Amino acid sequence: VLPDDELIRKSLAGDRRAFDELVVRYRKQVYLTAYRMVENAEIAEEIAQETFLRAYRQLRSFRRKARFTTWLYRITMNLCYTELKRSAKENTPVPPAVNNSSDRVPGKLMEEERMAWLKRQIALLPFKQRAAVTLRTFQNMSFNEIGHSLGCTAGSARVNYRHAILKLKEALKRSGEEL
Amino acid sequence: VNCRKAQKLLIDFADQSLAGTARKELETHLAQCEHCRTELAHIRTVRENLLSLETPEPGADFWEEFDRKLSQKLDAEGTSRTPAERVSGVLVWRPRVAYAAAALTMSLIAVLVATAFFILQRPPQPATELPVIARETHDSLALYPANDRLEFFAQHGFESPERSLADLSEEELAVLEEEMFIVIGPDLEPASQAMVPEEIYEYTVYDMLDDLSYEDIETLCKELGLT
Repeated sequence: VLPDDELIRKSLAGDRRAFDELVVRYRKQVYLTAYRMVENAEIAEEIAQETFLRAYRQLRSFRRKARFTTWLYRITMNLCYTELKRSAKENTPVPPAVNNSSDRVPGKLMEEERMAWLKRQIALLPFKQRAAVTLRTFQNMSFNEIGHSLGCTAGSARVNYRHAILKLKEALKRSGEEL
Repeated sequence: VNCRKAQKLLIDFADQSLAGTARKELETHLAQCEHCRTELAHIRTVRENLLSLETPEPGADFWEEFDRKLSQKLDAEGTSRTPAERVSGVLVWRPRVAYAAAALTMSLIAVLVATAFFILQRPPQPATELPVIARETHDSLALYPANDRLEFFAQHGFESPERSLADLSEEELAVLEEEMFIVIGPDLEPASQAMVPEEIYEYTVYDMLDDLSYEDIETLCKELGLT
């Protein structure tokens, strides 16, 4: 199995099959990350497609100071940001309802409802916090890598992750969830 | 370790990224403090809930179709230019905060023009030296020596210019991050990324500056107050 760097070198030399190999290697991670950010399968697929298209177009600008995946995630996250911003403009956001019964964790209810509740809480997070949680929790990325993916420092990535976890924790506590 | 300090360490502890003395001190504190143990349990519950979120598991058909669609798009690209033929350049990253809004918070927004230059290589326009835009912020400050950071804070009226970035509270860091944005040239790290506020100029994310005309870049620099 060729390392990423070698596939990138070959791609830059015009070897499409080498780039296709990179796509196969990372398409699932990119798609699932996009899905976790936008919560829509169709849009996640579009974002994944666009991520690889832009990566192909801009491969030469990849300077190999970070891992290829980190660079890919950066493109993915930019596209997710654009999409979330667009959808926020089109849809009136539902304000967080602290004491609203619909905001309570249906602890004894269906698992599906619990997950829907959690997704609503995640959707209320600012973009960078949401992205930091997604990359840290599901991709096991270091804060340094998250920083590269979000265009910020590792310290900033850590702060965003911390804020996100604390907000979710407070939401859980408010909801009256029995731990 | 008191409760206040322990609270700051709990997330790293739950994340298993806390080590050394700090970990030992926290463990000692947790053994004695029920309140912090409860908080830790809450944090762990959040993590467990996050990990239990289900995502679709696309099957072979999905990926076959995915590859087919992408291949068509790449083929279309290939007929024009291969990656090797494309010029290198900087990328445009979309900031989170509108320039207009940032302008209203001038006490926080800083503009330092970098000394670096880059050459616009896109034919048919002649190669032209253009100023690299460097809007220094929290994010890029880490790249500079401590003295530069202090200079930054001194220049831009931050309340206590003698403090360094490391001394700022999380809230202050968050404010910095929210209120500022950066545009960095190819010779600076992160080298390949530049940020251009779309609210000033409607370029899409990851548009390359190379794809802009010389006039566009001149206008952009002007609007950013850099010329």
